Amino acid sequence: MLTEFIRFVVHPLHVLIFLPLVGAGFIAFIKHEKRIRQVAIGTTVATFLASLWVWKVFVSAPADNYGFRLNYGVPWFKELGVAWYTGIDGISLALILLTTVVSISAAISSRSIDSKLRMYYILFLLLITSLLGVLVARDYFLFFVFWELMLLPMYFLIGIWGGKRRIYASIKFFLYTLVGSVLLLIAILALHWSAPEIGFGISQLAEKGATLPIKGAGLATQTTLFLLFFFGFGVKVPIVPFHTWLPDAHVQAPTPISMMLAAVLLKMGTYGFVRILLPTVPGAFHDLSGIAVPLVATVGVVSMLYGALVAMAQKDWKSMVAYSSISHMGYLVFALATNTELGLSAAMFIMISHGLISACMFHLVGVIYERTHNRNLLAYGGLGALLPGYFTIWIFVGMANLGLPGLSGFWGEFMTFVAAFSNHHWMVTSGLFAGMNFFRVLSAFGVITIVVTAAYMILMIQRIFMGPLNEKWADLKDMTKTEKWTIIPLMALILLFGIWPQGLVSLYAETTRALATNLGFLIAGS
Amino acid sequence: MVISPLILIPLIPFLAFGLIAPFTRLWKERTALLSTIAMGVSTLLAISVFVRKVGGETLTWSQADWLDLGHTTLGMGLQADGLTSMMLLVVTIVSLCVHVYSVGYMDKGGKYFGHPEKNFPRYFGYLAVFTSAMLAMVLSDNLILVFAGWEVMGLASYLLIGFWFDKDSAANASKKAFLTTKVGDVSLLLGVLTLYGLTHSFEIAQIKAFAQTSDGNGILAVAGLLIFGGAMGKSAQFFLHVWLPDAMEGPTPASSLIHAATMVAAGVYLVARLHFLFEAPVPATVVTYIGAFTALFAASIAVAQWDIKRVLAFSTISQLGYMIAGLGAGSVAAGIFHLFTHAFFKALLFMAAGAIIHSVHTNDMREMGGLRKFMPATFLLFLVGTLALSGIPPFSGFFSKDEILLATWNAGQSMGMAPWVMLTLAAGLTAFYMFRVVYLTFFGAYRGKGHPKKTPSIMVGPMGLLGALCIIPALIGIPGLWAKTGNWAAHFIEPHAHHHGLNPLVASISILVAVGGILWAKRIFLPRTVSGNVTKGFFEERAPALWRALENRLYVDEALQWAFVRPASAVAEGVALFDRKVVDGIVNLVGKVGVGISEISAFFDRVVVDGLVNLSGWITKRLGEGVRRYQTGFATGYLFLILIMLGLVIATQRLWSPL
Repeated sequence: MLTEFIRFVVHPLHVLIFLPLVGAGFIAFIKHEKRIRQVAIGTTVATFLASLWVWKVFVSAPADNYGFRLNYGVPWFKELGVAWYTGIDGISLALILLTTVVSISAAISSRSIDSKLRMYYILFLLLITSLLGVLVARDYFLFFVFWELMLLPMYFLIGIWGGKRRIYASIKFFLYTLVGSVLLLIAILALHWSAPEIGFGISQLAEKGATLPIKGAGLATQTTLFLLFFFGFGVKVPIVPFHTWLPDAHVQAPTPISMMLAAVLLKMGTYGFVRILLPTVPGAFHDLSGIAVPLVATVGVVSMLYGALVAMAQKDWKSMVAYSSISHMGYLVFALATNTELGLSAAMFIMISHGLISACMFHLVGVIYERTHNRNLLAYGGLGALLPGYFTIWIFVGMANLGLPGLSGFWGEFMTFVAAFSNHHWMVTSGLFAGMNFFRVLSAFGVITIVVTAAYMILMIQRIFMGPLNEKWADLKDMTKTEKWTIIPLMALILLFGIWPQGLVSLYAETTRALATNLGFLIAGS
Repeated sequence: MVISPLILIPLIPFLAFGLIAPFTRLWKERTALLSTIAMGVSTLLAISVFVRKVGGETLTWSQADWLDLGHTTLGMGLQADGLTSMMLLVVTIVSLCVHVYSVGYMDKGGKYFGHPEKNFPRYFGYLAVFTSAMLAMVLSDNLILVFAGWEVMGLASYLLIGFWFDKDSAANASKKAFLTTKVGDVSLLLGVLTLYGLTHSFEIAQIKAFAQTSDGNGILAVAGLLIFGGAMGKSAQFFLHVWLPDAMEGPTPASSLIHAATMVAAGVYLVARLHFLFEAPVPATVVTYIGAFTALFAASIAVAQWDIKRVLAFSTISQLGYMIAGLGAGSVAAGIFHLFTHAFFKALLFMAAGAIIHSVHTNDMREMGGLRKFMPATFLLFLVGTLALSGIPPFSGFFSKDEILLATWNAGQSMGMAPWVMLTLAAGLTAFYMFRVVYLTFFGAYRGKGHPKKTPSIMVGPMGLLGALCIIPALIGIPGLWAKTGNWAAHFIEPHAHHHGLNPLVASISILVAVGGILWAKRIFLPRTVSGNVTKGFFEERAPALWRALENRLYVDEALQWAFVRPASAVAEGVALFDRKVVDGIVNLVGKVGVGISEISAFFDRVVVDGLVNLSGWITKRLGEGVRRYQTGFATGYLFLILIMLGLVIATQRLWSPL
């Protein structure tokens, strides 16, 4: 038993996911506030280093049939067919790195938290463990345990350290995502019962799922599973119209938790799309007479445009940034519906890029909110001359968010539309509309989002920074060094991936290529 | 490996920007030096590339795998054909002149840096990043880098228009510029995507090869028009022109570089680069008519402006219309040669206007007059620029404008004579409004306050160079000189096309119209400047309604505001209301049904969460106090620990048991 235990513990993935938990354990016994903060930040740094180690080991490790590496599997609850089954591929790796990078920034940004510190950091680290756990789980049971474990710390972090309406927001978050979880659970069980002998392995059940009939009676058809998984994960993304928990959660959550929520938690829904939804029900996507492709594509474009329009009308700064997230997640959903390898790649790119950019934006809003306790966009004006450093950083991040080429935000959007234009299904071949198809028409609506996004970002910059100074804020101080350095690494990555997109793409390209091949997506141009 | 000059040309200014942007406080005013030196090196390299091209050598550079898009691996390539090398010359020379000039302009009063403008260091960073983006765009052999440069230029333009962002007018102008051009950019993006959908490539050469196998109608024409939509935004064609006059809120040297000579010509360059999309009748006609109409429309508004920079701004819109019309009428050489000459004389005019503003501290021509005596060098140079713009031989503008008029004249058979008529009328108006400016500012008595300052030599120097460049390019524009038919510039830009020689009829009409405009302006304005009563003009009395309409820019801004901006924000407000009332309303309703669950959660929060918090505090306290206390024991604490242990043991025993 001891040897198994040691084998279990020294496995890189387990080191990675349990490191935050160990840190949390230490924190439980520390008295000094300052020391608690140091240990918490130290733990996130250690976790980041562990993720780099995982990356290093990953590169040279052999892959199994499903393209996963660093696999570890032992039976767990045998009578149920449950196993402790972990492993990662390029997709999980990219998101693991995102999680560990952003969590350092969020931990440093947690300086603003000043009550019940110990509990806060314990929950914060528990959140990181659960996020990483979701990303390494290869067994549905384990996946679901970590998936639900995410809810718990999040619920308390918003509910205890949040703003005035924190109780409403946290309960809304909890209930909403719980409904999503119920849909997932039904889907998982339906899938499992269609072939109980397979157990709960995600990849193994995906193979089974692909053989299920596309339509028919009962739960175990690809179309039904598609709907359950799509809406189950969709709540987390969130897709319009199941998005209203997000602005409330963001507005009420403390700054670092908003960072984690936008940068990483939302990606769990989209990770579910890529990891589970697509591989498990490929037939639903292939059957173009079916509901899947039109539904997903339309939901994507609606989310894009709707989120951007609502963002433009927001008066609350954080709420605006939250709706911006909904809009950007819409791009991602649309990209997945294009049935192309490029679409998959675009979706991955957006996950990482939006993670970095949204974390920066929430941090920046928090910087001023800590000083003024005011989030009303109309309450400011003329801060540009007063806070030149802050202004410059906002221009950078704002431009990244509205998709300026040279920064990472551009590529995700661009690749999405290129993917849409390379799908030639349903093409009108003659008449006035020759050369048009479903994806191109949707794209034509989708690009309007680019203008609306530019509008709300530019409007925000004007309202906050330009015009004559609002004398009420004449004493405001510019960002401190720590506040700047909290996000400078994230900004560096935004710039790096903007100039050298291949640097990011190469992390997951092999996996998305294999996935696209399995799914029969468009790979080579035709 | 030898590093190609092509990559260095945009890279050097970009590095200057990279050094400036994060460290403005460190560099202080020295950013001017850094940025200017970088620009100087780029200029030398651009000249060398141009000379090599004249010698027949076309440079190229490529990097194969920039981004693997799955279907196509995207390379990044640069090339310098005739068109590009001319653009390189324009951009680097004007940018260098503007850099030097700006040192004087942005330094209010004191001998260089004595009393610099606030944010002086940033300003040069913006100039550097702009120049870099524009150079990358004209060098690119693929549409992605074109689009990237295009967008970054938009950002630089936004930052420079809003340079004095604490003024509301500047803030609004920068927003308007960014969003108006963004509408065009989206059209451009759709056009690029459509081309990709057809050819699976972003490389211009491949797209061209594809286009030449087709008749250019149908989807290809649609793609062309979408791309032209982008050009309309950037190059301020009717009705997307509204941002350019407002852009004059920026510092004048920046207007001179970005909003007169180079960036606004990017749309013209793009249409020229992708001219194979505009050869079919429908796109050609659309482009020609929009260009010609813009030329006449903007020239007529320029007549009625009092702000010297606005006159020049509308003049720029009008001249861009000429270029576009020339391209539409089928002559790339004509459009681009006019871009080339216009860049120099319009940059000169802006700099001279900047020198005036720097000296009298106002933009309003009603408060100028008689400046001839205070700043003779500026007067002389302004006059040179004006003559070039008015199309008077032997200045360069005559030759380039004549090429365009000739192209529309020749295209008259296929698309009607209307474009030529509009352009000729606009030529007359151009001479008229420019000499209106000359008389109002330089003649008669000084009507403003204070004593106008002399122009500092660091500003006159670059203007002198540009003044010389109002004449020198004429040499390569003279038909028959160094070329059998047409002129040398045309053969350099379009080596394989057929070029026309001089048409005496078209040329004489254009000279007559221009001279007529000048004489008319003299008749109306010279007496008024002498009497000092300039506000009682000629048109104000004879056609007051028309004058008011022209003064108010023919109400296009208001129309767009009413037709697009207000509906857009109303839609946003409406959707947000729907989101709050309907979508979230339903959610809350569902929530109320489940109110029992909420109650339980609240109870849980109160009792268990706070309980846990207190408990953990309590445990730590106990443990901290050491072993001394542990014997006394607390049952709940032990119980809690035992529960946790038990859970862990069960889970782990399951996991690691050999069974």
